[in-house]
Amino acid sequence: MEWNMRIVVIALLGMTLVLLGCDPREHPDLGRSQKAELLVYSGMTMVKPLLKLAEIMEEEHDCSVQVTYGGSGHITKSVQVNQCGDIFFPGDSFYIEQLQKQNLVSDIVTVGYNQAALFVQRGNPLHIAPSLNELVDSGYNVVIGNEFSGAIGRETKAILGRAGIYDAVIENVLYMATDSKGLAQALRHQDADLVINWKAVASLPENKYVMEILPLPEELAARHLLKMGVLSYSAHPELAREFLALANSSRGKKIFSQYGFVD
Amino acid sequence: MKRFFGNICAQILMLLGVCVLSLIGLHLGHRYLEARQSYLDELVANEQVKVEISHLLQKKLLSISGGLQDFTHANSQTEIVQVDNRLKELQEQIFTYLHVIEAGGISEEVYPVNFGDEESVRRKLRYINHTPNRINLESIELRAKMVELAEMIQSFRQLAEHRVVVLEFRDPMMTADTIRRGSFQYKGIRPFITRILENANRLHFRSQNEANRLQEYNRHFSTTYRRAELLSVVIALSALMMMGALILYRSRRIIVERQRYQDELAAINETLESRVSDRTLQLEQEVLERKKTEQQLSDQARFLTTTIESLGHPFLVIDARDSRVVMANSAARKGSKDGSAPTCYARTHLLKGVCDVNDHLCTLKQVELVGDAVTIEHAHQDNEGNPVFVEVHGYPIYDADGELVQIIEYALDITDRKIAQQQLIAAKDQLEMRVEERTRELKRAQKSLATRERHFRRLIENVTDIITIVDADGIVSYTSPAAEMLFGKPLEEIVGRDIREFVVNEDLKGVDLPTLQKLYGTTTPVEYRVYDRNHKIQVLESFIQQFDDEQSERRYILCSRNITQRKKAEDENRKLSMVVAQNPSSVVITDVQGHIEYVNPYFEQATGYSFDEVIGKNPRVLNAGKTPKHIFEELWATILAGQVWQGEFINRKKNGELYDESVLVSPIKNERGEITHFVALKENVTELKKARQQAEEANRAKSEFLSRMSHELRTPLNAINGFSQLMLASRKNPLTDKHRAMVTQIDQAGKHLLELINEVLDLARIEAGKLSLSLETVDPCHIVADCLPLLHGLADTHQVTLHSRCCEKTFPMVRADYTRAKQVLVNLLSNGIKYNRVGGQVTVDVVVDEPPGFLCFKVEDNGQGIAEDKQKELFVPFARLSNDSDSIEGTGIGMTITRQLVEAMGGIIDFTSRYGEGSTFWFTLPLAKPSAVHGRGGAAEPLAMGETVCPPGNCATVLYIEDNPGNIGLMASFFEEWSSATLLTCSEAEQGLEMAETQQPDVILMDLNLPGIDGFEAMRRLRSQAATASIPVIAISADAMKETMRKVGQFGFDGFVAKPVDF
Repeated sequence: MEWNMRIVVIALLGMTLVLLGCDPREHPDLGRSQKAELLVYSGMTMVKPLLKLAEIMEEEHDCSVQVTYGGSGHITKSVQVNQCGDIFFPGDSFYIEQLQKQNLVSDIVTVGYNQAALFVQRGNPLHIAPSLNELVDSGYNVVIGNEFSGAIGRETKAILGRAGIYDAVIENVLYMATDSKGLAQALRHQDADLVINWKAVASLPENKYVMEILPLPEELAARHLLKMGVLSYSAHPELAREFLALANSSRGKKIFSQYGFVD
Repeated sequence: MKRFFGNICAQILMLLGVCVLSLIGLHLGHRYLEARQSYLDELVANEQVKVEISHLLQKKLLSISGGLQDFTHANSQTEIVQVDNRLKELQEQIFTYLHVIEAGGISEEVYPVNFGDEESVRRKLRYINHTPNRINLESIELRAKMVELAEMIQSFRQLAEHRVVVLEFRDPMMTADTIRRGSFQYKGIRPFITRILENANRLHFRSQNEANRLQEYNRHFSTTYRRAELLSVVIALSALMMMGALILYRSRRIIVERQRYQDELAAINETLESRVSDRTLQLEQEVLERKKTEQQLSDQARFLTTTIESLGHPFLVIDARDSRVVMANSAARKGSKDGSAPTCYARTHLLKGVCDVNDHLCTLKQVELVGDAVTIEHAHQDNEGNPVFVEVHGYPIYDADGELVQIIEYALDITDRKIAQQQLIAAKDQLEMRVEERTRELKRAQKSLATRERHFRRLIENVTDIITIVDADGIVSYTSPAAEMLFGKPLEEIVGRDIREFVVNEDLKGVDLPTLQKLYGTTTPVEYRVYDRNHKIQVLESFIQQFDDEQSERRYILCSRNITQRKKAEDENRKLSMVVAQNPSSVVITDVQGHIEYVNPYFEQATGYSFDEVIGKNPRVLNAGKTPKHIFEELWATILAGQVWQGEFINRKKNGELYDESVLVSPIKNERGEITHFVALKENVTELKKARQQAEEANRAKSEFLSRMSHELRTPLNAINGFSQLMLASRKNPLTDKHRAMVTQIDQAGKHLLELINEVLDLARIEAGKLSLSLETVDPCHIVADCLPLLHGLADTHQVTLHSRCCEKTFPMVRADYTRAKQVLVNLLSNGIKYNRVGGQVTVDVVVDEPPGFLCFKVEDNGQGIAEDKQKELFVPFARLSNDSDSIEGTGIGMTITRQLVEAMGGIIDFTSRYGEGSTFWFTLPLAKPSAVHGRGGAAEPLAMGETVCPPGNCATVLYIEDNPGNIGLMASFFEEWSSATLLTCSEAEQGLEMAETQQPDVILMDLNLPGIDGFEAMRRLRSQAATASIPVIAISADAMKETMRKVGQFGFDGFVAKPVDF
């Protein structure tokens, strides 16, 4: 009986002390772990393998990886405007070299390549020939990438420029998509009969059974290396280098291979 | 602590203290929870502000998108500046919003309201970012895109300014260039705006989700808060009440205990006084009782002494320490040798020491040894030397400590009893000896009997025959275990029953055993049927033996045997004998040397030889000498190898008539596999062979008729269809509208007639069994893919949509004739289109393993459907089921042919239909084995007959050898229209061969049915001459039968064109 009374008294005193020690204005999210955050700028085409790498990174290094993605032109601009972030991964080495000249990126590694091709609806119902001249045919709905927004737009301009038909194609296109995803959407939504896009886009599950590649010879559509580097703004450069090492490892190569960026 | 809990005042003071503490705790808790609730409300409101800001951001972005359009409509610099200013203002607002979202702060929004005096309302939106160090992806993306948007807006402004300038100059080239540039920019801006809006939307929805999350957290906290507060109050009150109750309980207990102790003390005093008085009285009574007891004891001792003294046998009380006699009665004193001696051994035996020897035990020693009463026997001699037996009893007497102090000894004379006992023992020994001797004799006899019985029992139990003993009434008194096996009843149940209960009613009914014994005696068995354990009938045969038992009663032994199997075998033999004897074929059985042992009656009928005439002879008596010798050699080699030989002989009957005989000779082997006999089954097939020959001739005639019909019908059709097509297609001699309509009618009628002829011939071929299928492994996708393009034209004409559900699928291969399978599917699809309504649909689908091992093609339409009463006529030739069948093209035998074709390919065809709703036709084709090689990897390349442009002066020369002037005219007309080649013609093969040699045409078209030498001979000659051997030759014939086609291939023609030629 005496013990019961003691417990009651101690409990009351304990509760009073606990209440006195609590801060009522503590933010509910404060309890969340204060992990290091990596910000990765990724070209639209490579976002899926990159998210897989981010998952592995988060598991293995107890950190949080945020990925901002879009056309490579956009993410380059984003780095310059926001002046923050840790890793830069555009769809063409041109963009990374641009930032390198401004000393904004270092520790560059090559993880795969991109190559452009013609894309048509699956089964090629319109029997479109694997020729660039088909892009000029007004009988087809053509969509190409915007040269200012994404790497594929820039590459499209280069290919069509070499063939001397860029202006004619621009006349013929319905619109110019900002990035490879926009181009794939154009085919998926039946807006377009013919587009130029990165070959790896065809490996994505949502596109696999919808579209078909008409390959272009390597003289017309060269391979472009996919490079990844650490930004000079990085708040966690060591962690960023770990991420690059992961992307360049055999595991990383395997993931990029699954998405068509490595043979 | 014990003192504290014993002090009521201290406890009450502590209760008050706890009350105060509880109140303070509750108050503090309440204040904390109130503050927390208030803070969470603030957070939710803060997030709502973020949602509102993000929404405003979306609106501003949409305004910018609209503003860009305004650039295109601006017609002056002023307008451009206005648009630009507006857009800049919007951009600034967006940047402000982004700043507030990221770093927190106040953004001010002006809402136009027009409240009379007040035109607008300003609203301040204050947002605090509680996690400023976390990355905000949407803000980062939006800020970058806003910078790009600003550049684009500048680009648009420049374009708009350029446009205004160009419009002023009114230069069309510059205007076009400006429009083009504007078009270029607009083609890029829309997807860009879409992406920015996506960013803004993501920001908005993420903010909304965050607000919802916090709201949910707040709601959850609020609920928990109310519960916690209530629980705290309840707990505090409960604790206080419990403590109060405890203190009250303790106080009450202390008071009650104190009172109880006082009461107990008073009671103890009273009890002690009453106990003292009671004890005094009790002690007085005890003294009185003790005196009384002593008196009684004295009386008892006197009585005992008197009693012992009066006993007739000696009674002694002996001291255990020194064997001194403490007391002795008069008998003891009299019987002792020295009545005054102090010890027992001195008194009785005049000894100086204890009388404990082997045959005379001391009673005292024995009592000491056993520790209990003992009885011992002493043998003495009386004065005359006679033995005297005494039975001495000793009883111990113990003191208060359990020590043996004395014993009581008294002795009884048992001499008479002892002598009688010794006599009895001697008699018993004698009896036992005799019993043992008799027992040994009995065991020997029993053993012998058991051995004999075991022998007999083993014999009876292992005999498969049933041995039964019955009395004259048929009641079973014994039966052997074999009966138990047969009837499935334990022997105990069979014994005592009438034996006739087991017998089938019809057998032995009413016949008693004495009668049977008389009828059959002991050597002839009686056959009868019984029901076995499964109530099946078994046949038994029994020998009956009579005898008289020990009571001289007449009994019968039945020795029965189950002969069911033997009877069955006899029946089978009888049946086989009947089969052989009554067989409508000749049956001959010979020994291994070929000597006839048996012929059946039909043999006699077929050959004219009787059984007696051929028995023991060789079957070569029938040999007419017309059968080749090697056949007989082959026959003997086969049958001696133990195999069956089948073949034909030409034999001669007894009357000399020859006949054809189909023979099957088979060896008969014994259990060891040795050939013991040969059996030959012979059948006269003379008439059958004649009939077969006639049928083959008839079939050949039918084929020839079909071939001729095909040729004769197609030849005029060639002219009709060809000329009508040329007239319609002619550009040199165009038809008038009226004539074109007439010729179109001719062309359509001709085509219909050709289709009809083809289908009738197909049907005739199928029904005559002449349809030859080229079964191969076919990809079903190719069948469907090849059929659909053929029907698009028909579908367009009938305004019906054609769908395929199997475009993107893959299916296992089927085994079918590719052309025929296509024909079936085309027929079903064309019916689905033709018998549909305007705007209807026809869908083709393929289903795997329906039924298992087959692939099912389904053609579904939503047309008229088929009335139920007409469905059964669907596969009847020339039955047209549609009400307006006259207006629909068709021969009416398409479905009949389709069914025949599907069934010929191993499939089935059927349909379901609802009148007015549509029909589903389906047919199956067997799946090919997985290992089968692909017969058709892809669709055959169609041979397109397009217009060939021939280089000037380099036109091809075609030589056409044809006897029919109409066909020559038709071909000439065609070549007139087709200026790319020159046509040479001739009507005879010889002339054609000369022209081929001299003119060296590029290709020869050769009619096969030519007067004089036919097309095949002409071909052979062309190929035999070096000058013409390499010229391509294409056969043309109205005979499109398979045999002709095969022959064309064999003669090396380079192609075949069937008449009528479809130009």
